[in-house]
Amino acid sequence: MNLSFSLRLAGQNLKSNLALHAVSVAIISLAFLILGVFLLVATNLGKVIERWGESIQISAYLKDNLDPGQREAIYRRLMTLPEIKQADYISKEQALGRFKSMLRGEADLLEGLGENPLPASFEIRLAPGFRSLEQVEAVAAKVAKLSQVREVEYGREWLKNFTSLLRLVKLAGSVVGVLIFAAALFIISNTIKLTVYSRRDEIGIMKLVGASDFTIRLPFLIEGVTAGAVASGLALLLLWLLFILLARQLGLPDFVSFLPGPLCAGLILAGAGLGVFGSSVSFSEFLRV
Amino acid sequence: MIELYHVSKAYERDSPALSDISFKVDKGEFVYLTGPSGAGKTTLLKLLFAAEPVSEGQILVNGRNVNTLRPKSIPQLRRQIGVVFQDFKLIHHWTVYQNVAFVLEILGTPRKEIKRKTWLTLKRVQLQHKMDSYPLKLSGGEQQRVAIARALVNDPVILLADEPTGNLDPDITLEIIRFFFDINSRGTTVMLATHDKQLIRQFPRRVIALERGRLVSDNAEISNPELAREVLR
Repeated sequence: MNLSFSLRLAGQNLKSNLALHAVSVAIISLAFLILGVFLLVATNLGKVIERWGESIQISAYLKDNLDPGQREAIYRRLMTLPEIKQADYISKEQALGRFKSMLRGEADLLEGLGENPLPASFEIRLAPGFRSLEQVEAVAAKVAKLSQVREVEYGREWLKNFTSLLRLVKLAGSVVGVLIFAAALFIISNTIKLTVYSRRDEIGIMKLVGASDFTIRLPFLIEGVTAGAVASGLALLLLWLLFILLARQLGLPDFVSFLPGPLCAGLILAGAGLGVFGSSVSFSEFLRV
Repeated sequence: MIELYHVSKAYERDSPALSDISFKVDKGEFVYLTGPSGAGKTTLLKLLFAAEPVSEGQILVNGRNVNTLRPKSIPQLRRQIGVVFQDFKLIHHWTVYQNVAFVLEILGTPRKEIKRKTWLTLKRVQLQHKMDSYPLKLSGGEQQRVAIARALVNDPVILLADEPTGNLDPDITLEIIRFFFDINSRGTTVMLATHDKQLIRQFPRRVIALERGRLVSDNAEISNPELAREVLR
């Protein structure tokens, strides 16, 4: 009894039970396809939210008449906070320039303005993972305590809405994800069970002529791995074709992309793993002869 | 070779399938196991190759106590016993060759040896020319010969047969039965379950008779076929 025999047997079984395997591979593929569609939507939705999150910023308005040394000290102080990804200095002149460009044709409104009333500021962008309402508030409070900072501002209302939307999407995503994953697992394990069940006579005969459980199990496991990996691979291929087609038809934005490589590899591994797991679990029931 | 001491077998909640069976079969003997359907013939054979656990009593097969076999050792026992069934029990998507060779594959026999032995055994049942056929393409008699070849290919010390001719025509029956006598003449202990009285009269040997799970007669003294013929007449 050796591995080459098991491999030969598995190959031979795959060939002679081709119709049976084709049906189970198709069903498992479908389950993976549904899971894949969900993951694709979820990861891209995550990206959309991420982009929105990047626009969250805190403006820290500085007191007037700070020398460059003090300014530099504030900058360094800000960058020691792990929540802060980036802090850009906006001078009084830059602030006025921006304001002017916002007013455009009505720049003459500013004519009567003697001294530049706008303060210099730091525009602070937060690191991913620190973009919820509570975290932004906490960072804003820390920044406000700095002695050279006059005032801190962030879009509180917008942030509130953003945070609750984010929670809703995450919750709904997890619930739907768990349901889809459970359904896929259920379909896959039952399909494998049926495949093994349809061959219980064969298993019984092997036992009767003195084959050990391991000898019987090994070719089935090899078949399980192969069928599982082929099924998930097929599902990914189909999903990719669908994605390409959709992208061409609808012209999706740039940041929308296919599932990342590691996730694809994970899915194929999951298919192979499910093949092994499913066939060994359903097997134990039929080995008792 | 086969020893039973006060063996009983009860399936759950049913009346016992076998009760208090004791007998001994020596090496090289040919024994009919007979009795009407439901008498317990199949159950008795199943106990011998550990397909069912014994409820009470002791069974020794080729020196091994079947009751105390660990599940891991059951395959070892089965490799010493060839079993032939009424319904052949061949794997349909394997060729004749693969069905027979499998028994040697699980023993780890070298491939060359597998080829040689499988071919020789198929030749013995005159099926060497059907090596690459699939079982369902063969007649009933041919399928049973494949099953016999599978049971013989690793030279078992015991051959058990459960109504091996139950599904076959009388002509074919004779052909199959001759194989069992041939095998027996080479030293293998044979136990053949059948309710075919005609067959027993035609080829008289020791007969162990069961009825409703009990041993009702065992003409163990008749080891001589000539004598058996006299007695049965």
